[in-house]
Amino acid sequence: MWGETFDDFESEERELAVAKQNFMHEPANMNFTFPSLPLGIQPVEFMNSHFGATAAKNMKFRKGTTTLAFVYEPATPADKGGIIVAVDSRASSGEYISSKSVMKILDIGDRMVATMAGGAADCQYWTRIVAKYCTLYELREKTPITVSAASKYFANALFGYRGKGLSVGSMVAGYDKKGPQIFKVDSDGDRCSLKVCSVGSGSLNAYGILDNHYKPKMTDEEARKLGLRAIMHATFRDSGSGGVCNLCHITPTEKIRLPPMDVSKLWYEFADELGRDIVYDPRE
Amino acid sequence: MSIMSYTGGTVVAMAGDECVCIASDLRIGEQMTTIATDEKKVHKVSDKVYVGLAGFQSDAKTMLEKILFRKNLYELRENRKVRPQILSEMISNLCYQHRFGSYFTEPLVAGLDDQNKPYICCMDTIGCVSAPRDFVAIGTGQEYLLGVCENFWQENMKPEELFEATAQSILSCLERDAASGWGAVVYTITKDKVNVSTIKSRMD
Amino acid sequence: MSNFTGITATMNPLAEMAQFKQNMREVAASPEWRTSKLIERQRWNPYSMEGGSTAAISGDNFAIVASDTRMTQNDINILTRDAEKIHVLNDSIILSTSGFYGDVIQLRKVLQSRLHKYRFDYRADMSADLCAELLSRNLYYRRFFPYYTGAMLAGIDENGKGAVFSYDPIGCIERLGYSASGAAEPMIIPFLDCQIGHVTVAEDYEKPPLTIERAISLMKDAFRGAAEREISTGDKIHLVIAEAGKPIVQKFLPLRED
Repeated sequence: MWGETFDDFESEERELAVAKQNFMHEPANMNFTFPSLPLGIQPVEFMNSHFGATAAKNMKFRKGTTTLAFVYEPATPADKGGIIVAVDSRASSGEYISSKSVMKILDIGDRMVATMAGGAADCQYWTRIVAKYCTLYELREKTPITVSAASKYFANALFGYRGKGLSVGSMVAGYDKKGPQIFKVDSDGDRCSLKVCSVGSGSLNAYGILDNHYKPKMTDEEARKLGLRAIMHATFRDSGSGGVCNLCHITPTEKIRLPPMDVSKLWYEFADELGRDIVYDPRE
Repeated sequence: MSIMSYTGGTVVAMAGDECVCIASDLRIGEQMTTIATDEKKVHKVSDKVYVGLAGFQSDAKTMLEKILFRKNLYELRENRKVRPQILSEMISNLCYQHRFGSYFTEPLVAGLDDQNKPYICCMDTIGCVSAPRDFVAIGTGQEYLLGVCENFWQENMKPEELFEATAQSILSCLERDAASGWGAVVYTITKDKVNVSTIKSRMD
Repeated sequence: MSNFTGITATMNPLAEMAQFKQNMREVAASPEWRTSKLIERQRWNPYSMEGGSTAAISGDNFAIVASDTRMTQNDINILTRDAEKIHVLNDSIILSTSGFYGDVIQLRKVLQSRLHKYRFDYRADMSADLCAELLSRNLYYRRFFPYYTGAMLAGIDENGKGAVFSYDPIGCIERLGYSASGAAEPMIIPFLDCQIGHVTVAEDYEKPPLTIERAISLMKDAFRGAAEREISTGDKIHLVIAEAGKPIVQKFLPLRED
């Protein structure tokens, strides 16, 4: 660097090569490192100061969610059983609702999905990386990847960036040779297998409903309704969740995506069902 | 999250031809959690004078008591109804008295004076009054409202039009503001009567 | 001691004065308004915010993008009244950005060179949906040192439909019917929600179809409203209209200049 002149040909050539490397090609996943801050700048602190709570409304990262998934067995022979994955569809930047229609169930292969909670961009990007890995695995090994393996890869990828400020709370759910499985993976590198699981800002509300009504054996109708209801109640109490409820039913044979249901309409229906008068009456 | 958006809440007022509309949402929260959905932020002060208090609701409650106290004192002493202009001045004084430890609430006054001229104003936490002729908004959804109202407001609207404009504005705002919502209430103040209507909105 | 209140009886007046002076010195050295945000910013801040806002609407066979042309510094100084915030990348892709202009230029350069390479490799122009994914990834590659931009990509997709993609600074992508970004985003979006999303009216209410004329007039209204209330938005509306099978049209319309 020192002692070079402005017409140093080599450095110019090198710069061009670097620029090409950086901008002209898609980086290869194996040897790619994310461009990082100059030495001495704390990444998490830096991000918080520019994109955190004090940032401008539209510079905050999108987040906030209620997602849930549970495994159940068919109650009657007519039912299919499997996994229900239900999510809301709100992305918020602070108090601003930046989107009302996010699809938070992301596909990993034909039989597996990952849900999205925490930083939306983080989830979208890493789910794609996992999906790519799974596809390559299938092509290489000529057998579908297990949920366990996929989630392990996911957790390991996230663990590599531990402490860097990633924010992911994902549930990898799917059917494989071992049966229906749900793995909760988060950005601290945690990975655990669960039967009933909920992640996100509204997860506690969702757990309340799930714990109350969940049975290991249910009919399909019951199970789907439980998913919807848990999401609906969570969105009612949690201002970070809302929009529509997207539901995905993974049966032993197929993956069924149900049409989105407006949670607000669900709430009014629920109030009707109870016969509760929710119309506000201004006294005075 | 700042204290001003801890409980959430939005109030808007629009002026028309011998009428004003004042509307608020119904949510009370503790940051992200919704605590109640039947808490209006608009309060009656006098026959044709209403005050809206957004911001931290604990302070808003205290503030309201103080406002009512001063207004009652005024009416007893002067033996006449309070006009909105007077009330806003009164609230402004009250706010500024707490200049170095202000209440975390932004007041808004809307009403008709004795000539049935509409008057609306809003102020910051320490009582800087701004009284435009068109519309005012305070609370967490202020920005959203200002953008929408700018397009909905027209000169000399009749009560029905004014109600429609206000209702549409606040509903549009609630769509994008996570800290307020869960229903809205609109007061249409005309020279003969005050119309109260509750609007259903999204419950998420 | 007398009944004098306000000072605790045990405190020596001289000591209290010394304490007061000490406190004053401390406050003067680090006043309360120097929040952690400000302290952090003064330390090392690679970004600046040039304000302004952009919005985009997509319809059946068209996409229109609009932005103001004001560039400000610290929301106060106007640097230029003819800033270019909408970048037409090819015949069907329009990038519109707000935020830090340095990052905007860099981002545009990255996309342009990638589009150029794509054209070289495949002998066809990239369509908007492919470019949208490309942009998302390129934003995410800077996850730990993000581009300080609110980007939006609009254009005509592979099927000849209008498309608008909205992003957060690190590349959370979503395809929407309409979107806005920048300083006046919170003002423009609820208006578009109301007029295009029809979220505030009853379901059986008759909704007007979204034609290109209606979209343009809505866009004008949205920006006029925003320019009234938002200080870093103004001067001119830069309107770019992409219609399937037609060349891109660009227009400039006047806006408030104060």
